[in-house]
Amino acid sequence: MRKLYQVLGAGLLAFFTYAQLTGWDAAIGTQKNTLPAGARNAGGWRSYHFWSGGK
Amino acid sequence: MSARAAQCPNCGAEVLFSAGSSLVTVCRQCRAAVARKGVNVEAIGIVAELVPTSSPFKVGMSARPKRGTKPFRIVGRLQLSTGEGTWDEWHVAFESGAYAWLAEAQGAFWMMQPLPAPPVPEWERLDPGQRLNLGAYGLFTVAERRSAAYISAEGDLPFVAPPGAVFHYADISGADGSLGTLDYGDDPGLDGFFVGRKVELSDLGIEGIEAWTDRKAGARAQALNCPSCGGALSLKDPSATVRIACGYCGSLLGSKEKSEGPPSKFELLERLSAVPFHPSIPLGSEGTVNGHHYVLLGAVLKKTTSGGTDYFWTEYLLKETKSEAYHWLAESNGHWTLLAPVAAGEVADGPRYATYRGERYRVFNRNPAVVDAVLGEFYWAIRKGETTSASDYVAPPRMLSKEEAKAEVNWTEGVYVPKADLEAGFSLKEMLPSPTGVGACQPWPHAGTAGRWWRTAGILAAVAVAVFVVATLVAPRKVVLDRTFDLVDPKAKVWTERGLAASGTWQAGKAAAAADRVLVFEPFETPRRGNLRVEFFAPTSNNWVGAGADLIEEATGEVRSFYLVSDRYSGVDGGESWSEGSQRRTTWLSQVPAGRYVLRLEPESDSPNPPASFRVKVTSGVPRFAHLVVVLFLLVLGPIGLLFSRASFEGRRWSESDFSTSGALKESSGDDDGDDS
Repeated sequence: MRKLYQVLGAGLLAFFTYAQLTGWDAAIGTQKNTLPAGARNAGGWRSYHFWSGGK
Repeated sequence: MSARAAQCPNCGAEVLFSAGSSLVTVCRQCRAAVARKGVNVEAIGIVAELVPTSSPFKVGMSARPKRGTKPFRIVGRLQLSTGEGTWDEWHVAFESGAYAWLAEAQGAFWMMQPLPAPPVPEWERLDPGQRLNLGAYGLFTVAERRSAAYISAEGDLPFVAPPGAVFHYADISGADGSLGTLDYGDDPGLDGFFVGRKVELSDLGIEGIEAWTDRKAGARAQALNCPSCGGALSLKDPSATVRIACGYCGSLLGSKEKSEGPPSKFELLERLSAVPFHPSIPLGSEGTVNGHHYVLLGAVLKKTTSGGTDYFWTEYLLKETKSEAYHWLAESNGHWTLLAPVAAGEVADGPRYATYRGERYRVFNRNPAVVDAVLGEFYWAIRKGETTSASDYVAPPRMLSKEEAKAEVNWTEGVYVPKADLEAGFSLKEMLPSPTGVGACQPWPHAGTAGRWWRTAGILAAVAVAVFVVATLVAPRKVVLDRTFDLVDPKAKVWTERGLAASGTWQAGKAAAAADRVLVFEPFETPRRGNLRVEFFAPTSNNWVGAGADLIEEATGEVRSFYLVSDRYSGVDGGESWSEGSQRRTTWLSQVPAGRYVLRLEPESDSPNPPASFRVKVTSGVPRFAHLVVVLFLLVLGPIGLLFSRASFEGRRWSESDFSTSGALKESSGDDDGDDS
């Protein structure tokens, strides 16, 4: 039982170190998307029509 | 006086007073007790035949002890009987002319020296368990108060008394482990005072002594057939056994003569047709437990009655083959405790606690214990219905047990034994029954490792803190965006970056800005892969402002969408003020790669009076303290789980007790709730 605790504790510590060094976060409430290729032209993503109207 | 030869006044044979301390010698020819009085000798009676006992000593043996005691000779043997048992005390003479008694008591050998008598109460006023302060001799506890008859003798004795005389005595047990005897003779006043220490048989250096195993082989009744059922009985302790309960039919065998020791012939005392119970460990088994080799002699089924219900447990009588001491193995609900006698004087007990050798034991049970049935062989005249007052005190894995009878008090102390140790130690073919519940002195299974759990948790926590400190020191924390926006059109809910309105820039493009409330910032750069902390603050007061947010990586077009909000409400309801929400909220973005990013906000608020401004601050590479808190919490979950496990275990243990953990009698068990004296 104590061995399992040691293993789990060491694993938790390893993940904590990884999270601290790489900036990992649970990032609750965020969504990831990728813009369509056509929107990647310079300033394309600045277009109000791209985000709201013009769809 | 010194060694001296004389003629027996009874038969004329030569008698020899072999030591200076010898006042009486027993004629080998006619068994007359011959006392010397000045230059004359006088026969003061005829002693009976010696009763065979299990003692390892013989008159004439010489000893060169390894330590503590000077060389001595055994010059005489006094045989005493209380009517329930017979024992020997051996008169030993030192070269200096001094003498002592070598006695067997409490399952051990004691060398008792005569000392000047202290003032003590009269014999009738002594009670077992009573404390005596004997001044310079220390504190003693009365362990036994009895009368014994001088039934026989051999060799020389250091006192003059006719054979058959009855002596009153009290055995007292010292707080330092010593044993004393108050010898009152046949009158109320004290005649002699003896104090001694326990001696190991192997340390006495007595020439020609036989091991117990050899002595039992020479005993008279080593094997017999039960007079009731004819079953073959093989005795393991024949030189000491006074009662046998047949292992085949349960019938009780012994001598019908009251004052005898181990009988030469066992007679039927009570006939039974079937064994009253089945011992879990077979009678006669031999095995090693906790490093000691034992022979299992007998089993006693005991019971106590509480609330109209009988509760049973079994006690097994063991003989430790090396020390020849009698030990006990107690079994209750499948839980086993190995107990050995301890000196009553070393125990201080009260209603709630007992203390032995610095260890405090809590009272667990205190009930009358009644012998319900017996099987096997016993060194005393055990009988069904024999009742004692039994008190158990526990300090898991140890137990201290007290048995009080009318004339004596006996303490035993022992340790919990896992059943697997007994199965292996006695090489049992059938496994012992599995224990149920928690035993009175059963140790909590994690007692030995709890400290290591906490130590492991401490080390892991220290490493976690170190990692956080290092991450804080080396992390490239950098504010990459920090902008404040002012409300420029409350009706249309339009905010614009602070400074633009005042400069007139916003006024110039007012129409377009009103239509397009989206705020897009100039790109910023993150120096390395890490998290982003986005803080959103507004002076909200019973209103709110929110903003849909998109973080766009220029190179890949990857968008992270999230929502920022500031809301703060407060008021008074029913005379009590309340508040909810927060003016400041933080959102964390995970593992944002190094690169150029653009933040796009779309603020909104349906409040009639939206906040006058809001601020957005984006910081890269921020160590997460909350993560450290979560890790520390998870790390202590294991040890904390152990605490719950222990509490549950102790709860189940004490549910079997009539007492609470503080030593108070539970309400359902009675009213006694005394304090320790």
